[in-house]
Amino acid sequence: MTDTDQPLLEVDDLRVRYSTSEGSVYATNGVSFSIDNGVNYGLAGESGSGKSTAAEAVLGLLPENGTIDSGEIRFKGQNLLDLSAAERRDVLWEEIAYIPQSAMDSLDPVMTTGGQIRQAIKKHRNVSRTKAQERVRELFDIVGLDPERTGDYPHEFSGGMRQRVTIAMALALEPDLIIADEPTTGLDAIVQDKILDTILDIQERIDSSLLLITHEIGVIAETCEELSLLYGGKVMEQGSVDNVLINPTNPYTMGLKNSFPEIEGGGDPVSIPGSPPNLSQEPSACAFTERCPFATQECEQSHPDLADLPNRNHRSACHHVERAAQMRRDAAQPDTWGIDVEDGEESETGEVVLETNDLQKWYEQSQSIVSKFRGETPTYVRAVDGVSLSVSRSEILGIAGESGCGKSTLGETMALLSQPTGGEFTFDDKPYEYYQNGNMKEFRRKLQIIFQDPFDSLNPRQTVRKLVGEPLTIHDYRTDERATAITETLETVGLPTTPAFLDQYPHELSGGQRQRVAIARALVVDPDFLICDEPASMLDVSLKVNLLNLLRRLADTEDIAIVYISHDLASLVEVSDRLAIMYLGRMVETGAVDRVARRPKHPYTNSLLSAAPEKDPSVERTRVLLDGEPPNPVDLPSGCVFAPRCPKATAECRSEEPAPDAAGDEGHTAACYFPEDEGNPIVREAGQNRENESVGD
Amino acid sequence: MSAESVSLGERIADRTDRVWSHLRFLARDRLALAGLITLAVFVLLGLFGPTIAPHHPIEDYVRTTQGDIVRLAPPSADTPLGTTEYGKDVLSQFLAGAQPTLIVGLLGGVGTGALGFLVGLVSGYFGGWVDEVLMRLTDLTFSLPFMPMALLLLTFITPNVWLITAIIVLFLWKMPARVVRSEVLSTRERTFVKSARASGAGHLRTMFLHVAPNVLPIGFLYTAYGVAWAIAAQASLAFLGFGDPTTTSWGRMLRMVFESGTIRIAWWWVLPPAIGIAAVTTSVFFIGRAYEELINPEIQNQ
Repeated sequence: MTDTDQPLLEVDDLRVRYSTSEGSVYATNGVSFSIDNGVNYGLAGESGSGKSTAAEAVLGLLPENGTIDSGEIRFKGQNLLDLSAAERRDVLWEEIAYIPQSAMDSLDPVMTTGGQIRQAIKKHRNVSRTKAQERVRELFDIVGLDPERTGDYPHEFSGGMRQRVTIAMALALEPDLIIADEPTTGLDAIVQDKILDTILDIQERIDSSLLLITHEIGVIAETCEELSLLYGGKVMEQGSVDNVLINPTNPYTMGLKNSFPEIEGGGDPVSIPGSPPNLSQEPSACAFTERCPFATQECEQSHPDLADLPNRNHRSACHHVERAAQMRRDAAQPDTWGIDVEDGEESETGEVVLETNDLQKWYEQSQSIVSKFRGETPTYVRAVDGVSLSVSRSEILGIAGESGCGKSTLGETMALLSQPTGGEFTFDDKPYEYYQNGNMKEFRRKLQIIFQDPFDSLNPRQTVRKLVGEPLTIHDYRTDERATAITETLETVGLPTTPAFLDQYPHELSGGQRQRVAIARALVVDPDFLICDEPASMLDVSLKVNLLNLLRRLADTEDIAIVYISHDLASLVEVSDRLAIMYLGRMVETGAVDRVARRPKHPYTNSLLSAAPEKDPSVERTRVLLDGEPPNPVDLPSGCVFAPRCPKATAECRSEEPAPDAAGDEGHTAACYFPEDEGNPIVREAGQNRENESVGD
Repeated sequence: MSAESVSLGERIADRTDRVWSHLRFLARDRLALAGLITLAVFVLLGLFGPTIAPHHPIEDYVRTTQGDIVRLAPPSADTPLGTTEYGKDVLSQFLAGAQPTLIVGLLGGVGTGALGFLVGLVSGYFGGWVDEVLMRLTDLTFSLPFMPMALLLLTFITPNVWLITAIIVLFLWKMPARVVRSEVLSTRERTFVKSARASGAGHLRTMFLHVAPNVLPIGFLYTAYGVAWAIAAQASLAFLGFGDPTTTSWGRMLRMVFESGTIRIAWWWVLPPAIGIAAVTTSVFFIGRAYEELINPEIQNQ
């Protein structure tokens, strides 16, 4: 931090209002914060908290129906709102750069990545092509990309690398402030970890400030020095990350922090019940009153001002700051929030419902006519390559892995949405061929799958009633008591059952509600087996915890077997009984959740676990950064598929593939010759040397 | 919810309610309202035009009190829209001419939209060889030029309204088919379609209840286009002299005014059919546009 007397960016009492046909939405209601030179600043909050609106206001990119009612945005002491559109454009990119939310799609597919950055440079600086090209190479180096690849097109990079390109582009003109809107959302843990590492690294090398907008507190805890927590368009708490996250003084911060699932650490996450406030008028009470367990009369009357806490860089907007310590203790208890604690004991797992044995799903790659004619053997993408697993009643099996490891294909193959190409699997003791020969209806009723994207998994032209009722019609199940069946199911998943709700269309529902409707659709025919493919990846933290609790309850009370597929290890650990780690179409480690999470055997599991961000800024996390990317599933290396990236790999690993149960005992197996907790230091060293060699070639 | 408890009468009442609410919704859009009114007038003209026409459009001559045939007279109290070169009443021709235009336009348009929509839906949904066969068929109809082919057919067969409608549908379904197919291709990849399959829905249910409603707007738009195209095509055919010789249509009126060589002078003869065709096709577009808003719940609430 450099000490200049004036902060780089000052947002003062910003009020933004959107006018819609149904009246106004007060998105931010007096947000103030300031960012000093060289500081990483985090802006956190759930969706609808106004964090993106605040950033868009700073950038001057508010949508047309958004107006700034009052407030000032001072950049280097100059009020940005007084500038003309043209002057504003000059400030943008030149001094304030922006990394948009879906940065991976923000690159022009028909222009080389280097060319796009060069264009940005030449637009603002009068430099020669060679000079610009030099700068591009330098930038590629800074963000950790190979400088030789500036001539490559976006599609030649993976998602994480494309994200690096957009970061390089943002850095091109050495801006004083970079605004990043959810830069790692949609990336999986390992890639996210690498990007965060890059951002921190850049922070050390370049003296620019960063405004990071995210809903993940863990990401802020790891990268930022200061933060503001927004709720209902108001700042609830702000100050240095260490103070705010270690000793929160605002009930909202406590709730948010407690609902963030963590791999290690005690206790179940506690979600905040209720939903974000309706912002159709400016909040007169404290924005959080409705959901706050500590609310009193005083809270109803006014929204508290941000008050400085003594001796610290820490401000909180709460009427009860003085009770903070007591509230912190209470907030960790679920019953404070009015949540019934279900009995902690795990229900007995029942008989095996689904079992796969060496299940394969290979996709044939399209061949040219010539090679077909020549009779060349086609090449295959081995998406699922010999997976054996079993799931019992009342059990939740978590399947974890990076994107592209084949976990979604596995889910779809188990749901018989795509035809298995090898191996066997049985459902209810009958092989899948039995179902395919005329018993598909039975299979489709008993096994249900829930897809990732709640915004696309419901037919936009059907009402909730139709959506939930349709499976009943299809399977001719409980048709005489349709209405009851629908109501019951909606109650199970915790949705309202009023006629008004039943007549709503998906776009009128919130993300969490949509995902619940999707689950209700699956549950209405009383299935035995549920496959959930990343059901929570697009939901806010507290909604995510709600969903996990719901699934847990379903497994415990309805005796449903559940497969939960996700890249988010923290939520998997939270919800599952057993955990299977998948890498390139194979299971590398399987076992009871506690053992896999606490004492991983496979080095890949280890690095996955270490990649999850820590919400507590005081904890120093040891990163196990993996080199490179997963190999191409068409052209798999011989031997252990993980060997090329493994820090411990030896010649043995490269020549022969370890069996799925090469290490471990019954109940916890790993496909590794040198499991972590049994590994000896000599092997480790040999592995190091080997890695150096492989870097050389 | 159960179907048994609802009597037929209630169902009909429910349906009419819905139709009314649709119409009320359309009426809120001013252009659509104008379109609705124009179309209503047009339909009335089509139904009752021939009966309310003061003269027979083809057989009767307009004569002076002396018994002379009044040729090419501008509008007057006696003949509100003037007379033609051949001494016929333009108003009567205009009124009677609405009927074939209505039949061809409505049936041709709806036929084009429906056939094209079905072909596109089936082709896009199933893909594979079904798609291959249907799309090559579409390509074939694309490669045949409409006018020459239609003229060729009509030289061998005596044209009548129904035949012309059929020919128009036969040549125009390709347009909606192509567009609907490409929409279906992207819709069927959406998660809710996969989710419907996973919940056990059969192909027919998935196709008509999940895919079709989401591509319907395009279907409607192209039906509206189809109405406009059909009217224009019928007018062109009539203008080229291949219309139904026994009846008057707006296209045939234009043909006559062109043939008589008075197209530059007799504006009262040119304008009524020209404005009629333009007004009907435009109002169909306006209604189609507003209707899309109605059936798309996402736009509706904004």
